[in-house]
Amino acid sequence: MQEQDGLNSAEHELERALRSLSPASARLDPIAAAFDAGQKVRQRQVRAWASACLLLMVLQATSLIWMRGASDTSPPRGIEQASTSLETQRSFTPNPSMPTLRILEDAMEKHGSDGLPTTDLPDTRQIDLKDQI
Amino acid sequence: MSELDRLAGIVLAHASKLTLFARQWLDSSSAEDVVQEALVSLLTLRSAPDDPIAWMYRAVRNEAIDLARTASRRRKREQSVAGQRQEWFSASPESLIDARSAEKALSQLPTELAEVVILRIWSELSFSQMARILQVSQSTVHDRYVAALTRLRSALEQPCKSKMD
Repeated sequence: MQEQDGLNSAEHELERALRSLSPASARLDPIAAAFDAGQKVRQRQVRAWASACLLLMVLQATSLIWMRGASDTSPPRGIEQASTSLETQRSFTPNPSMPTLRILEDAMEKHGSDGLPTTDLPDTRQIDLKDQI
Repeated sequence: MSELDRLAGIVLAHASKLTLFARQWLDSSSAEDVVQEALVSLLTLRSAPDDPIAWMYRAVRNEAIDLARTASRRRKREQSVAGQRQEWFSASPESLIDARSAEKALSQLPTELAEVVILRIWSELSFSQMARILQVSQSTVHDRYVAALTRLRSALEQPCKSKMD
């Protein structure tokens, strides 16, 4: 006889017989399970925090390296001053109107120090001692 | 009553059934370990599953199959089984069938048939729950169940071989 669930009476009887057996008891420790679960959740949180800290450290290190790299393109202060003074020295060119050393020597031989040409020195300002004090 | 207590209570009520389910692949102590591990995993979930029992059976099944596949675990299991054998069912005077015969008949079934019988008979799950756990259609589960019962019946109806034979 076919039943509604596709089983015949013999199979239903077998179901009943099997249901009369009870599974062997099992030992479960819910307290240990709860403890382990708490530990796992805590470890997960700690791992998340550690990852966040690591990420921040990497970001900070990257930004520091980037900033240092940017400042390396302009020279340090000391080097800048030295190169400026070097450039000043290099930029010195003699005035073509200035008497050469040979002319000056000839003039000295002929006329002594009076034969030397006058220089274009700026006017000297009288320094008053009172102003300094 | 907290959510954890509720979940633990539900699982405890199904502890022996879950262990019986895991026994298809593992020895009794490993089966208990697997159920315990599944309970830990259930309690670590951020939100409880809609059907905690179905979730537990699924977790136990996956873990038990993984463990059974491990060769070292298998050796350990064989040693354990050889050392101390624990029955699948507890003997009871109200039983309508011999527990050992039932265990033997069940263990001789292919796993996909035995698991539907265990889930249906002792875990009292619906076909839709079983289909979710086993990830097959309800009709497949039903077909397997009918096939399993047919095989079980023929296995249990075979007359015991006497010493005279």
